[in-house]
Amino acid sequence: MMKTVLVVDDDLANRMLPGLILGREKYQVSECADGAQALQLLSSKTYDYILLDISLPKISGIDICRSIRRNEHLRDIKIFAYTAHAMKAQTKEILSSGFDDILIKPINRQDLLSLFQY
Amino acid sequence: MLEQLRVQLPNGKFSVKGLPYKFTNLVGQSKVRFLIFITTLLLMAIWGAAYFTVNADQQLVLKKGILNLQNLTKSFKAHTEQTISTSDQVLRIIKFHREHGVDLKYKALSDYFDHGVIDTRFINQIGIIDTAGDYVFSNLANPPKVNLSDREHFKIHKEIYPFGVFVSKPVVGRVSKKLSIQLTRRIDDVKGRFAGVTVVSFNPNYLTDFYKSIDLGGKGVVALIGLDGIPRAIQIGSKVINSDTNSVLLIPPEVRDKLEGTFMSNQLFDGVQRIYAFERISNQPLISIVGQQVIELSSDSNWHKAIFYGIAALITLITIAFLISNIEYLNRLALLNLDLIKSNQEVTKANKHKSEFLSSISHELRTPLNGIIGYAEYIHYTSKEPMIQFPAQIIDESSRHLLKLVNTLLDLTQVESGRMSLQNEVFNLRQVIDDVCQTHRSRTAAKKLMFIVEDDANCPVEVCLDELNLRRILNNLLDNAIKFSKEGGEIVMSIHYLSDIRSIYFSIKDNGHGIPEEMHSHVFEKFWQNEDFITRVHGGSGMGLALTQKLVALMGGEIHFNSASHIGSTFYFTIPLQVLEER
Repeated sequence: MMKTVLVVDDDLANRMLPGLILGREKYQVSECADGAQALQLLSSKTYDYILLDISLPKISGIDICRSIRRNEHLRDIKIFAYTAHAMKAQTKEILSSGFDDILIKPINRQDLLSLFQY
Repeated sequence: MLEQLRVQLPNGKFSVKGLPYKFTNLVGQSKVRFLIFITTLLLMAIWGAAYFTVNADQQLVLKKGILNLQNLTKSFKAHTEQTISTSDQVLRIIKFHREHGVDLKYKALSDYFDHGVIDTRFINQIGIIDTAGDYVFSNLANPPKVNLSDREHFKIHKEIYPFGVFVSKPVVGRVSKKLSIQLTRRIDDVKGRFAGVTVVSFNPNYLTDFYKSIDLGGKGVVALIGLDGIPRAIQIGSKVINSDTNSVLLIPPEVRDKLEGTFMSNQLFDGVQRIYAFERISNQPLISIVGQQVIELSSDSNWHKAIFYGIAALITLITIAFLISNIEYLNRLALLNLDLIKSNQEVTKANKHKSEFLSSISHELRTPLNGIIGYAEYIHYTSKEPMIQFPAQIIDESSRHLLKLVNTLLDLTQVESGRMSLQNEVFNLRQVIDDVCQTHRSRTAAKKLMFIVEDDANCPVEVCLDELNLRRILNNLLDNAIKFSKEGGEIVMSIHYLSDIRSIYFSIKDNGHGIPEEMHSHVFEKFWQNEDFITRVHGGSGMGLALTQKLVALMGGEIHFNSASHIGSTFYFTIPLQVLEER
C-alpha cells in the first residue's frame, strides 16, 4: 500500500518539489498552501506523513502541528518541519513543539528520502 | 526647567540631572540615610567618649589638686606649729627667769640674740609687761615707756588662758612700730598670782613667706585664721595682706568643728571661688588654710579638655567630609550605573535587531535556494538528456557553493557577535570522522589524491561535544587541503587522544602549494586568501579559516599550522573533552 504524504507550503516551487521527488518513489503526495486547507484535508482523510512549512500565512506551522497533535485520530501521523529557519534557536524551538524531525531548506533528494525511511 | 532635567531612575525614584551632590540623591534615600545614621552614631560615640574622658580627667585633676592642697596645708600647719613652738621656748625661758627671781639683764638677752641662742630670723622683739601693763623689759637697748594694759593678751592672761600661749591678731607694735603677731605667756608669782606677761613679737609675713615659692596660681591663698574668724596672716598670690582691721572672715561652721578637711567657698576673702584645705593647729584656736582657685586647680584638665574636644572636632570634620564625598561618590556611581543600564539596554536592543536580521536573511536566502538546488538536482537526476543533465549539475553545484558561502557568512557573524552557543551531545567520534571523510572521498578521488586517516587506538569512542561544529571544522580543513593539493598528492588526517590534557588532537596534512612564510600572520584573518584576487584560481570566500579558528576557540581548543611554499601545510588543533566515557 502506498504511503501518503501531505506537503503544506505557501511557496509553489517549494511545495511542488517534494512531490516531484517522492512521486517517483511510490509515495502518494497531496499539497496545500496553508493551515486552514491542511486542517480541512486532515478532517476527511488521514496521512502517513506531513511536510509542514513553518512560516505560513495566518496559522504558523508550529500552531498547525500543535492542533494536529491535540487530535487523537491523527496521533500516528509523522510530522516533519520543512523550513528555511536554520538557526539553532529556531530549530530547537521547532523540535520542541511536537515535530518528529526537521528538514532544513534547501533540501536534497538524499536527505528527503532518508527522512522517510522510518 | 527642573522638570526637564528630572531623570527617572531604575528604582523608580527621581533625581535632577547635573546635581548629583544634593541629598535628593540618585542612590536612594535609604542608602544615604543609612550612611548618615552610621556617621551620626560614630560621631555620638566619639563625642560621648570625649565627654566622659574629659569629665574623668577633670575629676582626676581636681582630686590630685585637692590632695596637693591637703599636703600643703599639713606642711603649713607644721611650719606654723614649729614657729609657735620656737617662740614659746623663748617665752618659757623668760618666764622661768622672771618666776624664779633670776634677774634677766638686757645684756644677757641681747647676747642670746647676738650669738644666735635665740632664733632671730623672725622674732622682732622680746619683752616683759608687769602687772600694771607697763613694758618693763626688752631686748632693745632703751625700751620706751609704754603701757600695754589695753592689749588683748594682757587682758586674757590676767585670767587663766587655757591654751598657754596666746597668738594675737596682727597689730602694729607700740614699741617696734611694725605690724606683728605677738605670742604671749602669763608670768605667775610664787603663789600662782598674775605677775605679768612675756611677749615675743614677729613679722606675720614669716608664716606665709615660706609659701611664696609654691605656685598656687595668682589667686592662691595661704592663711592662718583664728577660730574666731579673725585672720593672723594672709597671703594671696605673692601678696601679703596686712589685715590689722579686725575683719571677721566667714569660716564655714564645719571648719570650726573638724581638725582637718576641705571646703569650697567664694565668701572667704575676695569673692574668688576656691577650694580650701584646712588643718587645726595643735593646742591653738587657729586654723591653717591653703586655697586654690577652682579654675587654677582644673587648669591642667582645661587644656586636656581642649585637646580631647579638638581631636573630636577634627574627627567630626574628617567624618563629615568623608560622608559628603561618599554620598557624592555613590551618586556618581549611580549616574554611571544609569548610563550603563541605558547603554546596556541599547546594546541588547541592537543585538536583538541583529539576531532578527540574521535569521531573517538566512531564511530569505534559503527559501529560493531550496527551489534552485532542489529542481536542479531533480533535473540532473531524472533527465536522460546529457545537454540538460550537465547544466542542471552546474546549477546544482553552483547553488550548493552559494549555500556554503551563506552558511559560513552567517556562522562567522554569529560566532563573532557571541551568539553562537555550544550544543554538546554525546556521539560516536569514529562514526562522525568516517562520515566526514566519506563526503570528501569523491573529491579526493577526482584529484587522484592519496587520502590516509591515522587513528589513535586510545581515542574514546563516545565523546560529548558540539558535533555540528566539529564537522564544520573538519570539513573546512579538508576542503582546503583538497583544494590546495596538486593532482596525485597526499592528504593525511591524524587523530590522537592527549590523555594528560584530556583533549583530542587532530592534524590534517597536505603536500600541496603551501603558504609562504610572509603570509603566515594573516592566515586566520577574514577575507584572506593566498592568492591575488586577479590571479585567483582556487575560489572560496576567504572566510573558512577565520570561521574555523573561531569555532575551535569556541569549543575551548587551539588551532595552529606549519606551512612552507611548495612543500605543503599541516593544520592541527585540539578540542578538550567535556564528558569522557572510557572505552
